[in-house]
Amino acid sequence: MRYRILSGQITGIWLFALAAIGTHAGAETINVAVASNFATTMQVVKQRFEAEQDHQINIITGSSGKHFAQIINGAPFDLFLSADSERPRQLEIRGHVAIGQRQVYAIGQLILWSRRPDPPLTETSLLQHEHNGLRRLALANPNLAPYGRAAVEVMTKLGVYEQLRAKLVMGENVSQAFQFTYTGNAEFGFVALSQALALGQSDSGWHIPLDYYQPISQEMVLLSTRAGARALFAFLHSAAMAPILREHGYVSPQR
Amino acid sequence: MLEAADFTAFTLTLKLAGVSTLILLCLGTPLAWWLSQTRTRGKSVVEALIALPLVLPPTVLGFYLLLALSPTGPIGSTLNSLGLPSLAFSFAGLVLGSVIYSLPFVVQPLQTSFVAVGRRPLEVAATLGAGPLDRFLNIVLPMSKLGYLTAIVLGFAHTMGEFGVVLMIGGNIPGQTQVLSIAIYDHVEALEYSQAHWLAGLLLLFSFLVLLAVYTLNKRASFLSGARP
Repeated sequence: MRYRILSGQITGIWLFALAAIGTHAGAETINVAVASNFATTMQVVKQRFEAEQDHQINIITGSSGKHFAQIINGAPFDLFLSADSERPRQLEIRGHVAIGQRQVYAIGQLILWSRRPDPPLTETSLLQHEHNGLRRLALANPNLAPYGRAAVEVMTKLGVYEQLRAKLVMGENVSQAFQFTYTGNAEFGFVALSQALALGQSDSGWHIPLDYYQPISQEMVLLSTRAGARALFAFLHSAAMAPILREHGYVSPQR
Repeated sequence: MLEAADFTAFTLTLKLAGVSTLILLCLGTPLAWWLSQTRTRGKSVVEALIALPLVLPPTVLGFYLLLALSPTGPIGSTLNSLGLPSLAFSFAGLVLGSVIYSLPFVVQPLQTSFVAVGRRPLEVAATLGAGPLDRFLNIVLPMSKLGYLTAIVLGFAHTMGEFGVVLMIGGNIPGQTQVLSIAIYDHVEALEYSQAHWLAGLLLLFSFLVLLAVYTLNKRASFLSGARP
């Protein structure tokens, strides 16, 4: 009796081991931590990638600061797509990433956006904020989010930052800045072009010239040596990405 | 270590919890009294509504508040037409959110202790000629001391720890809407872990001391009144 139970367990272990080897040899499921602002685009990437390759992608969306804290505490992520370049650099400094496993995967674009499509926003909308009924201007927290930092740079360049300070409301990230603006609680908001495009409402916004702020470089890091993770890392900085990025409001780092 | 902004966040949080608890006591007392006395059918509906914040994620409440406060929402448009400023991204807005969010934590202990008073003492008092207000102030209130203590502590503590609602409708304005939980979150997000530690530790210690004081008082109160806990 005892022997039979044991043999059952052994068979079980063998089956498990075989299954593990089976997964390892071919398809892998890889965990990818993705910055919230890139989540929708990543869904498209996932479809393309899974159609081409055997591997499966598990997308874990969240704020990059939280992902960072999880990674240094041992989260089982194979790849991390950050909303900025600072956190990937920190991971490299702390030795969680091998040299050369850090790449820019997308460059974000900032727009000044409003729920009301009329009149379309321009540079003047900021310069004449006293006269156009602007009471609240939403942006992402500049200490945390590159879109927020870029927004401050734009206001500083136009010389209106100090005057606008009392009107600023900050979201934890650019998604929240968008929420504030979308619900109309803030009249204008500095948001990501990708967000306005996702709603099909980017025409009324002011597409801020790229030379008004430092590039919003979103970097990724490879955290494991698994074949699936390496394949996705390569895919994300291949030329195949350029049209996907453009369609979703990002600039391709490939040029 | 800690910056001036962190201390501002700390005092703001105390202020928010204090103001909200006061308002909750004023609102919660008649509401809990009505619930404890009424036998109407609508009672269950009201009880279910009050208990909703216990079940719902705070982000749901925050999201609906954000929509309601917007210029096209029911609260926002009403305020707008009255010429009053919008409540989104303001201290008053946070108080409104906190009152809804912590309502069950105040109403439920009050209701329980009002029910525990029973009809008998009130009927006796009535035969002796005590009016409704007299009965409430001189019988119900003294007999519900522990209920009030529990309500105050739970309401205050729950508001202190509020995060999701503030995150949704606050806008992170120092001195107005940047409360402690948000400041801690920001430090963690900005990788300023040592500041996050200090602030989180401060909140932990403070919360423990408040609860300790309450339970010590509670024990003494029940000992003095001869009631069993």
